[in-house]
Amino acid sequence: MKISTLFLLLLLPLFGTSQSQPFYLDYNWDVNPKYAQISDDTKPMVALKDKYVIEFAYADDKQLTEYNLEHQVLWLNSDDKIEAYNKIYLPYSATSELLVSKARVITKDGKIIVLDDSKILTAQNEETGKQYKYFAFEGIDKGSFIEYYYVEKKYPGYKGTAYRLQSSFDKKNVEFDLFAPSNLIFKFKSYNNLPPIAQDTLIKDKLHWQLSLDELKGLAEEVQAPYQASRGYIVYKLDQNLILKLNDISSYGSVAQNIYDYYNDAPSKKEKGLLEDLIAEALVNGEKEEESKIRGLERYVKTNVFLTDGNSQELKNIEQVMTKKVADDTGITKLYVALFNLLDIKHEIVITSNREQLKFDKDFEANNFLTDFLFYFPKSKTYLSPTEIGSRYGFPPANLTDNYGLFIKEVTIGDFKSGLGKVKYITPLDADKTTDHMVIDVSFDADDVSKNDIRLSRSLSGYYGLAIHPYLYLVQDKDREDLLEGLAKTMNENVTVTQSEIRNEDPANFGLKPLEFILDLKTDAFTEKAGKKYLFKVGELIGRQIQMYQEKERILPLEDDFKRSYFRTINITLPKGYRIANLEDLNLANTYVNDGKELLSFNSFYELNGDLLTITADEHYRLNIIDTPIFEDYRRVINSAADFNKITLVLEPTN
Amino acid sequence: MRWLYIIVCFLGVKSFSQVSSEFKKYKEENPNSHSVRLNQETTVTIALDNGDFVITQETVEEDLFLDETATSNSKQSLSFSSFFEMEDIEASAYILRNGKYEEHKVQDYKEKDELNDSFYDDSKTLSFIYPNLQPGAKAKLRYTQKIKNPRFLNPFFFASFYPIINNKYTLIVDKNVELVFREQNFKDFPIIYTKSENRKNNIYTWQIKNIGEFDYEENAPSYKSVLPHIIPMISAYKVEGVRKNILTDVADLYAWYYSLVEKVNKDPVDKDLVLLVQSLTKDKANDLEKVRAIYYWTQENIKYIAFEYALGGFIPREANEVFTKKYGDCKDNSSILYRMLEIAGIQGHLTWIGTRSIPYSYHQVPTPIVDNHMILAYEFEGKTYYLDATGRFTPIEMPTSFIQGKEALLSFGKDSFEIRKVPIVAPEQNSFREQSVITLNGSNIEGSSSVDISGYIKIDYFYELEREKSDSKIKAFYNATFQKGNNSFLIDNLTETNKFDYDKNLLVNYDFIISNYAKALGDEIYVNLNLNKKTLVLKSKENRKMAVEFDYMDFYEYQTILTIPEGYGVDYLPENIVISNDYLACEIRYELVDNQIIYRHSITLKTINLDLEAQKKMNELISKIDKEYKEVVVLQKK
Repeated sequence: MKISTLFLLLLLPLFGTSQSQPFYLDYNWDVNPKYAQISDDTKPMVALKDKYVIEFAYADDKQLTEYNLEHQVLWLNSDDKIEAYNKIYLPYSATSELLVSKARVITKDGKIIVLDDSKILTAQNEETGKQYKYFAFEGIDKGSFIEYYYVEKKYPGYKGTAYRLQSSFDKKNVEFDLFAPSNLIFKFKSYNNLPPIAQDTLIKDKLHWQLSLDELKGLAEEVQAPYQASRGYIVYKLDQNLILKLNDISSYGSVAQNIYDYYNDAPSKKEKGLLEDLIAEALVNGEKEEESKIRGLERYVKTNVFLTDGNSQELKNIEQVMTKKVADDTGITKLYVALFNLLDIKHEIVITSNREQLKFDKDFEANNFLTDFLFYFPKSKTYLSPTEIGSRYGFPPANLTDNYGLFIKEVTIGDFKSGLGKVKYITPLDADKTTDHMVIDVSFDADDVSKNDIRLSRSLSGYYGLAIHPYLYLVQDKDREDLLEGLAKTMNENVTVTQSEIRNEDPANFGLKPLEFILDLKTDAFTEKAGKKYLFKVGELIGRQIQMYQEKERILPLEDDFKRSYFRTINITLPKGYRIANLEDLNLANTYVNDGKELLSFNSFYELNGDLLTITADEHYRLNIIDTPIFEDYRRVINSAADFNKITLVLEPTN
Repeated sequence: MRWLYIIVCFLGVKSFSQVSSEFKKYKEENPNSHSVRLNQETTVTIALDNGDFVITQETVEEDLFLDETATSNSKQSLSFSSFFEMEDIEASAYILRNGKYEEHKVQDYKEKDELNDSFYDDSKTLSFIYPNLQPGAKAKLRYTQKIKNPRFLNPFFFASFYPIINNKYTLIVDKNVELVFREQNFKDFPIIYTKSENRKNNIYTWQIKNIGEFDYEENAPSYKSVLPHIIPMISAYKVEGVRKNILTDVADLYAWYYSLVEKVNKDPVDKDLVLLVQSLTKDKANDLEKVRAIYYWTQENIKYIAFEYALGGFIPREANEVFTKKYGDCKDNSSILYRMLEIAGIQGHLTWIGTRSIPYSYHQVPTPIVDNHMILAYEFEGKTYYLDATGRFTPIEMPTSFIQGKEALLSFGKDSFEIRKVPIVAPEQNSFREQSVITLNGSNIEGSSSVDISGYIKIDYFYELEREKSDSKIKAFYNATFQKGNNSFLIDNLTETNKFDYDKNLLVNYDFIISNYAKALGDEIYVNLNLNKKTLVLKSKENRKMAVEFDYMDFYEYQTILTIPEGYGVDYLPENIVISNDYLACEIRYELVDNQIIYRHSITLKTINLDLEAQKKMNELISKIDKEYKEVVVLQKK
């Protein structure tokens, strides 16, 4: 959710500053471009220029205005990349205007094909209020350069913006420039190994900061790496207005106040009536506890109010939201605040970022880190996501946790209430909150040892249950059969489900009791005959496990969504007249311990009592973010589950 | 599933406290549906105004929502374009309050240029949000569209993926207009047809009541092959006593198509294009080789970007323009191919064709809905070649996979055309043959393989490989697709030959290791040589209701030679199996030669379409093969 700039507006008067021409008026591309071919033909593409210029300036109407220029020269050396880049879409909106847009192709032979203005097409979208200018480059062949630049004039956004300069491909001549009137001091921070931005001290009539790199290596993607958050990027924000003598303009202090005020608008009498009706409709089971009230409200709102994006005011108005049951992210958040206030449920608004996209920087206050809303309930120390339909109380989107966030707490000074902001860590849920628990009872057919009867009891809790528990009651017969069969077939395609049962299905149980599936199966898929012996593929009972390869040195950290535990108990009644020749194969153990805490582990072992063999294979991931130094430890643990999956027991006749 | 009904009602006691008797009735009758369409009526009025067609289509839809998925239906959108102009629209939600349905009108309709289908066209969507949808609520929609061209009447469907209580289609047609109707998939559906007339019009009506929902299934043929529908076609009309044809037969359709293409490519040809054709075709042995060179150049160099603005969706652009822009859609590719052949002194034929998603034949349905694609046909020594340059890597000998078995409409000038059937490529031409030599090292298997890949399989590989440029990604791709034994399979020392070659087979050599695969115990070693259990993916679900479509027929063959470890002999070798039916053929053979076991496994998929009966037979065969997959070779210490 974006915070509307509306209420963060800071008026910036013109007086005292000299007006200078925006840079773009003099900007042009090279009329006779001579771009050298890239010698390394194995590269699918390279950027020869990647330039961004942002200028804040007072326009003729004395309003602060932002001009954005983007200028790219890309060498395209594969059919795939040509197809990916031969169409360009330039977005602009009701509050912006495209001042310049130019595009051309320089072929391998040096032929220049400039795109005629008439070929720039326009598309409208009334829903989002966005418009697009778009075009297709003409005459690209392999080894061509495409070049385009455009200038967008827009409503200024100066409270925090991130520019991701690093991409998957190599770049040359990467430039970032920011110009501002001489009274406006900006602050910058570079991330992921980008060098810091420097101020140009020679320029006189305005302020200028710049970063210029001859080369920027592409960043390769890696499995489960937070790729977007790992790219080199810079963040800028306005810090001071020298004329108004304002400091810390983009700090979170004012954000907290504004957000608090905006979302805590006292409801009108009519709204209050509607809120009471809604509560009466949502809480029908005499909910007394704070937690059960929150759960009831959430379930009601998430099943009854349609969430949409759009640019309409009525989606943000709680009266309209309640009468029409349609809202946008802002409207739904306001509705929750009003409901909590009315029921006297203590809560804090938390604004954070998706850690896979952008890590919340606790040391650099800027609005670009404030993208996603949560509610925090201090009494239960628990979160709720107002806008994620698929999330439930206690289980906020996992990528918003294990990250910092801005917590906005209500403070009362006399009669006056306001919001006080503090950056705090959003603790992720512990592994014991998200579990996948299997109990597998296996017996062999008395007449045919190659046939098994299996009972699988599988319980899912936490984030594993979240994907299905709240909606299972809406899944109907054929889909339900498919689901149960799919669950059985994670063991092996060739199993037949003879009976099935689901326990704790009521969605109100989510977060309280695990969702439990009990499946009775018949199969001959796990046994192979080898002469007089049988090979029993016991490992396959737990389903296929990921085998992680890593041949190159790992560069980026690995991030899991959530901490989790797997518990597996396999009870095997051995067939009469057979014994197991290789029980010791069942013992596997791999752990990663830090500070005396077992953070990652796989542990399997057995116990034999007469003809009952009990195997335990438990696995714990008590850490989400796996930094490269411990990557191999992680891989070892993950792969021990895959090793277990390949264990075959040899059943040999006892005489 | 009565219990589901109970749960739903129990969970939302309050919100269900106001349910209508109508809701109760349909909920009981359709316990497995999220919604029912109470009413669906389309009325098409075809009038003549001074000899010009005035065609309007009015559609009414009324849905009743049966469970809490209601809310997720709030947002709806309708498509329209310059051929189907949106005239007016009215939508309302009806919510039960105090025993009565209360109307909530939709106020806001938002228009959007649709950018998804093609790069530039006139398709738009109008979207809107129903307020207050909840179980028991109804949504009513009424809209009118103007159909701008008499050739573009829409088919009308009598069933859908939700139950429909009343479904009615009415055509009110000026008596000077002649219509033909094609009934599609009507069998077993009680559709009632009536015809009446008034002074000015003929009135045709089809109606069906209480039709259940269809389920979506993967790899099923298009809904057009399954759902009952009627295709109305305006064949002719009379104006001032003179009868004029619109679409009486394929000749009329062709005449209209031809009128759209005949003016194309009349400009003098671009000199650079001539030079290009000359350089591509010089030293070529015969016309086929010349066409091959031109065809491959076009596939490689003209990228796919579609412009379909209004009639532009039917008119190819000038070859000269396509040549300078280096992009185009299927028509533009056909246009430049036609011209390049012409420059080389070779005759090509512009060809219209419907992809496999369209189940109609030209004679049954001689209207623009019968096809959706244009290619270029070329004849050489009595054989017809179908050139589709929108993709890449397609050798001239093969059509693209999605037009196999389809009718093609070939142009032979102003009044001359032919309909020909595109062949289905034989399985042996889409082959994957792998030879591996393996040895045992403890419980691990170590080996080296050489693979030979042809036809559509090769094309699929090329498309994947083209995206992966880095060595590690290429290796990861092969590691996943060649996987054997178990997922510890790891390849090394990879070499590729003929990569991205249009005509030659792709050859890949590599070494590999599979960990924890064989089992050694006491004097014995157990090893299952079925490293690739390829047939399992062909199995259909037993409760499936629809046919299965495959992209193409294919042939897989694995030969694995195991060198028996020193000091060991063979204790048990599984039996050979050779089985086949009309759809699948399969062999597994074991042979002991000196100290080596030679294992051979082949699978031939002999059809691209499996109906339910065929699925059953195929599944039976697969179960037999599956048993054989469990056979383990036993080696014993001598």
